[in-house]
Order: sequence, then structure tokens, then C-alpha cells
Amino acid sequence: LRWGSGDDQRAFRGGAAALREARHYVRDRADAAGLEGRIADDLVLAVAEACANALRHSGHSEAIVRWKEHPEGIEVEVEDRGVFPPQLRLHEPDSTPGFGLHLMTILADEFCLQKGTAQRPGTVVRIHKRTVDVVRQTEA
Amino acid sequence: MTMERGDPLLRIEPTEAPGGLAVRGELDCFTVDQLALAVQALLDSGGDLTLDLSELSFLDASGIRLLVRTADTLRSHDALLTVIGSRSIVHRALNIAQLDRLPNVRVTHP
Repeated sequence: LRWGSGDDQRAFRGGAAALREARHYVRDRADAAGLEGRIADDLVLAVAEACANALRHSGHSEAIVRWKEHPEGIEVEVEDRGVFPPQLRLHEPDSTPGFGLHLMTILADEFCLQKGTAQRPGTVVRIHKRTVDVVRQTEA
Repeated sequence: MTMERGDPLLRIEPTEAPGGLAVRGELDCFTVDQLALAVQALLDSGGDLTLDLSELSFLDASGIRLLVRTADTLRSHDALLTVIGSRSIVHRALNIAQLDRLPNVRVTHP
């Protein structure tokens, strides 16, 4: 991977069709970057969860997906315009709150969540997937 | 993910012997209710259930939740859930969920 050579971003708005487009966008970027199958699958699964949260649960039906290529891997950022829920939603029918979030943390090598608040809306999820296993040399 | 833009997101067809559903397309938080309804109708009629996911091209956390919920309901009736997998990304999702560790679930590969 050449650093920054494949950086890109796209906004998705709407419901079911937007979520599908966002998934296919990540799959296309992964293919273009020549990612190995398992790494590409994990990225698509993880980013899909972030996009599902943005499009379905943020209250704004919008997700901005940023694809960034680093020498050691891929970073995908998903930003919405919502407020991150300040409480558990155990009362909501048919939801096991946090399952999608948990799945993202399992799939990502590094995971960062910047919560949108009432004062500063906009939740950003950052998912990093390593494409090379780097052994850092310590200076003697 | 080989689906074309105009295709329906999810297509569900009943299967006979084994009795169940064949699910095509992409299963996510927007399409999962459609499958939940179809599964519920079969759960009401009793017996084991087979879900053929070999033509499913995507499965997210909400889909996994539905499979786990379905397995739990079947288990309370001493019935089995068989999941026929699946393409690599669906296989990966099922694998992370360790669905086959549930006592009444079998995951098979075509």
C-alpha cells in the first residue's frame, strides 16, 4: 500500500439502500486496495455496523465514510450527526444493545469511539485494520 | 457481494425436506424484520428448522441476533436449528458468533 494513495470519502443518506451502498463502497475500496479476503471481510463487517448505527439509530439517516490508507493498514472513519445514547436501551424491543459495538471491537485491530453529545453532536467511529504485521525494532 | 443495484435486498423462499427457508440477498438491521416474520410463522408450526444461507451475501449483528433468538425458541421446544452456510463473509460472521456452540444448532457447509 502506498500511504494515502487510495484515500477517499463518501456520504450516504437514507435507509436500507444507503446502508447497502455503504457496504458495497467499503468492499470496492478493499478490493481496489488489494486487501486479503479475511481482512476485507472484517473491515466490511465492522464498518457495516458503524454505518447501521449512523443510518438507523443516530436520528439523522446520514453516514460519512472516510477511507484512509496507511503504510501499516487501513483506517475507516464513520461519522454521523447524532448524539451517542447516554443510557442503556434495555427496554427497546428486540435489541441487545451494544452487540454491534462489541462486534466492531472484535473485528477491528484498533477501535476508537468519539461520542456525539447534546452540546457537540456527531459521533465518530474509527476502525483500524492492520494489513501488515509489524515487529517494531527497539533501538539498542 | 455480487448483487446488482436493482435487486431486492432480501429474498426468502420456503424449502421442503428439510423444512425451512432459503434466504438470498443481504441481511441487516433494515431487512431483518422481514426474515423474523417468516421465521416466526415456521416456529409457530413447530418442529426443526433449516435456514439455507448459502446464497446470502451479507449478515450483520442484527441477523446474528435473530439466529440466536430463533435457536433459543427452538430449544425450548426441543427442536434443532440447522444453518446451511455460506460465503466467506457470512461464514466469518457466524464463526465470530460461535453459533455452532449453541447446543441445538448445527452449521453445515454445502
